[in-house]
Amino acid sequence: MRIPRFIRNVLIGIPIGIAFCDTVGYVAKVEGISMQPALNPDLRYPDYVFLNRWAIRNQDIQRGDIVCITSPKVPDQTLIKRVVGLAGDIVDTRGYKISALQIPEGYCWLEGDHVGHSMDSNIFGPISLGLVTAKATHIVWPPNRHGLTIGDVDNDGDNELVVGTTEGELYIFKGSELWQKITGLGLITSVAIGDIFNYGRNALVVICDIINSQNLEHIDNITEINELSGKMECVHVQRIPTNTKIVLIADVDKDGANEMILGLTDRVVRSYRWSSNADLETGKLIGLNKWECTNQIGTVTLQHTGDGTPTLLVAQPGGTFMRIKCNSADCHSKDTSCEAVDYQTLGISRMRNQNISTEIIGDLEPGTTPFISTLEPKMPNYMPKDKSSKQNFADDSQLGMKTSKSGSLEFKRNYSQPVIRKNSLDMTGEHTRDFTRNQQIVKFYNPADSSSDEVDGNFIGGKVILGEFDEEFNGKFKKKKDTLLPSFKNFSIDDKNKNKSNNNNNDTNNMNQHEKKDKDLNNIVNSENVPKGKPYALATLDGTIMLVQDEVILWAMQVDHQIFALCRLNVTGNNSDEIIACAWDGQTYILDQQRHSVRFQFEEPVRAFCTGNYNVTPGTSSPSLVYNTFNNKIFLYYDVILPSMTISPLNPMKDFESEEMQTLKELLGECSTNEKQQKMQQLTEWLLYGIH
Amino acid sequence: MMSNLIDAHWFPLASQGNIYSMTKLCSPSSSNKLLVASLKRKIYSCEYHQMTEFLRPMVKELLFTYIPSGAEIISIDAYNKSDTGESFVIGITIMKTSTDTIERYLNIYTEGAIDGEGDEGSSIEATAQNCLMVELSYTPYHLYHTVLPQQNFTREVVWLISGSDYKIHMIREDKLSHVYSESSIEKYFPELHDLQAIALWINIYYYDNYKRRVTAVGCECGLVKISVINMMDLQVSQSWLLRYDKPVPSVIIFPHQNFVCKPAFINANTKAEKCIPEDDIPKLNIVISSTSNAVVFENILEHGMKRDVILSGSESSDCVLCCCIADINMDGQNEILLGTYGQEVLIFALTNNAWELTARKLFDAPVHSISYMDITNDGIKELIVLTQQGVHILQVLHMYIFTYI
Repeated sequence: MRIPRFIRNVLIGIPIGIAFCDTVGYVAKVEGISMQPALNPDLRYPDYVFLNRWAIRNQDIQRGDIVCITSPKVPDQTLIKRVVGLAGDIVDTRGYKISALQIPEGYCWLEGDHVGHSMDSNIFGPISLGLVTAKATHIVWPPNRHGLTIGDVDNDGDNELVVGTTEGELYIFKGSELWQKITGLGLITSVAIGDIFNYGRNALVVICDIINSQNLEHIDNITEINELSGKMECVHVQRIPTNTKIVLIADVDKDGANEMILGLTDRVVRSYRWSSNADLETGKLIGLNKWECTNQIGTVTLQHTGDGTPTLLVAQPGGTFMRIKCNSADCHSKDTSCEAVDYQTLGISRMRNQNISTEIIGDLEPGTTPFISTLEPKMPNYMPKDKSSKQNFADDSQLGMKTSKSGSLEFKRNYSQPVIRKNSLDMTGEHTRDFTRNQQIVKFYNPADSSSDEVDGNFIGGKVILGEFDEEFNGKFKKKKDTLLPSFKNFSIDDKNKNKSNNNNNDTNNMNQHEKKDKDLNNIVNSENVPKGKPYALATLDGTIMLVQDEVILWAMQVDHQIFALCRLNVTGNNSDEIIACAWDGQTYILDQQRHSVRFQFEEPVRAFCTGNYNVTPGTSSPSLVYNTFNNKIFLYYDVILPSMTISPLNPMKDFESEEMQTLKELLGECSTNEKQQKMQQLTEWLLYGIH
Repeated sequence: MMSNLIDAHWFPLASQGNIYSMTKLCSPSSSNKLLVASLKRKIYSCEYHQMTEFLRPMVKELLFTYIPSGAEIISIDAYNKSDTGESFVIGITIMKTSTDTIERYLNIYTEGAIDGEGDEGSSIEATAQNCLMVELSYTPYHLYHTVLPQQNFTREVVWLISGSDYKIHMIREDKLSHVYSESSIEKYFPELHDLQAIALWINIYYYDNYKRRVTAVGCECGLVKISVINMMDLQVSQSWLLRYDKPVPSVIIFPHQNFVCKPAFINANTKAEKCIPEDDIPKLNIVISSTSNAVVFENILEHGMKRDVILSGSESSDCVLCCCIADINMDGQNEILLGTYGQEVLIFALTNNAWELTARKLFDAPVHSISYMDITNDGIKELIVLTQQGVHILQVLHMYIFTYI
């Protein structure tokens, strides 16, 4: 009997195909949220993963692998989970009947990244290795998922754009060009730029997840500029928890040194600080604190309270957040447990979806709100004191007095965000800005970076590098070299002692001064009423944006777009930050703190979004919006400057003298407001367009 | 000149408009409005509301009655019947094509004849519900309104529609029956009779206290007809025919200088000045923009069509779609603004007796229409640009106003 060729091919092909799928692997769509954010961060665009069956042919799995199992409860269901523990490990369970157990031979412990939304070993118990059907080795679709940030990675004073992809490629864009591309980093979940080494220069921190390399480990990869090649080079690799979602570099315990804050997908926030050995090249990040949140973490942001104490705000589902206080004094006394976590519901979670994911952004520059004005009158109170206690700073203090407002665009652009925030709160903005003005240099290594220098022990060779700065800043900057000690007077005793041992490194004065001022300020204001903290903003995926100050909602608004990113940017150049909220569909809201809004529709769905001051040409940075689309394109809008958030009519009477007002009044005669407005309109038109 | 303009507002259109789809609603007593029609039936009105510290733009869709589904809006025009109040007449030409027939209408919206009288509550929404339809036997193009001076000095406003039947039609209201109907154009506009071309743009300028007028028509075939008419005997005193090799989408007659009436309340004791000098012949210019470039004819009443100046630079930005005359730098002299398919607005100003391209501004889409009106009601006019995508409202930065003065 002849079988037609086509049918014969099919008949042969089917068994081969089945055999291939059974032994080598196949591609499957990921459903559900249990592995967020590693898989399916946005449910509307499901991920496709390649399930490798070959890799598990001898049940050879490692901790951190993402594997597929046959559900022990519903055998026709396949689950995708991450391996947390292998046979012999003792795991700390969450919600399981035993709080800790040792995994027996032939079993493993699997958990979903999205804690609390996952059917995993915390429900089933240890899972037999026989149920493991495949290992997810590749995300087939979407092709990549990006971490975005803008900052000065190469310490040349200009801000660059850093893009990390899920394929382990790291792109650094400088000006209008791709400056550097680093490959082979694995799935990059987050990138951050900051002075993590606390030596006055920025480094790039890349959180990546090497999913398909041999050792299958999750790596925190810190790269830093190499002086010789001028390009970035990996200087430190360290394993950190596998499920890191967010990284933030900031000084959270007010000790002057930057910490690295990690937000993990299992509700945990951790802080690390760089601890170096004798030379810079060796050292490692030492875990400091661990805080547990009640729910899945949205974003982590730094927020200063009214008295200048830094706190961490951790967004929680349903428009709520946790406030974490980490006081350095406590840290010293009690090594690890210095946490004070408050859960803030903001009292408005009534109609809201309790589980909706939330974004938060802290430390918004308030500009001309009462917050600044309550502080400014106090300046004279403590400035003279400053002056007398340390004459060496006289120059600086006077400079500080001259300028009344902090936070100009010019000085901001040279710093990574967290550093600025801290400094501008301490009103160091005046100092830095004055340097720019006086020396006519826009491009400089921020003197305030020295403020993020050591205080509590993690001192690293800052002297050498800061020496270079001094050469660049001839003149004024050098004068300040020989001061250190007086500024520490107001520090706690142990701080002071510690720094005494370092006092041949004279470069930290800037920060010390600020710290001192800050303390003075605190002393004053604590005796009176506590000043208000900076406002911060929250946004939920269901479209609620709110501005909050000291846990009081200043305003809230509802938009009909799904907000997934919340950033800050000063687009009006008026010292106060605007809130930029971006929705998945590209709708972008620019909101000022008075709730005036400007909308911008980006024409494509957005995968990732960030804002910042980007240098398109060296030396001049401009407010920029960066969109990463699902088509592998990044759009950067620069010079995003609005003259004002609202449109006002011409008010010619604004600058009138009293006699001019009198003349105008006579001219207009007695009339109602409506008539008066009409008459003013006619008069203005005649004056402007008529011929006289 | 363009750098001191800021984007005050922008709103998108659901479907694109054309060069006839923007008009303004001005009234002395209330805020000025802008009407923008889009092809697929949606008509938006835009105005500014004064809040305590700022202006809030209000864009809303106006629901005009008797625009059947599937109809397309071709042109929109409006005027205010009342000198003091707000009594708008809005004309909209629509076309509805079905498989075998094409229906074309002019819908005229006015407020109710009796019940709207002196009623403060009569709003534009109410006007939109009060429709009078005129069926047209031709495809309408430009919808234009003009004053029809009559011997007894009452000024009637009539509609002029250019049609695909190579004619211009006049639609006039029958006062007694309150019905609009076509009447013979020959009697009132002899210069527009027997055009034998599809007029793309009509512009009529009255001067000498309505004793004379200049009529200009630009046609699809490139014909431009300009006539000077003595209103007393309705005789064409002068007439010129020009032929271009491209369609002429815009012809505008404009005075060399703008005259703005001095507000009546100034110098109330002295006799009110005449704001427009009556006796001397005004220097009138005509700008003709064919799709390739734009030409200005200076002082046509004195020199005829002899002193022509080509606006150099107007050919640099694709074809010119629309034209607007505005004193955008507030020097008393008019500037010429050209909107192009190349998404640009070009501004030509008269400097040292020569028209020079002084500024150009890029927009997001081809520019269909430009208007210069005071939408913020503060005495300063705003530049309003209708593009294929939406409407841009550009406001002069206030700090620059003082540099102009």
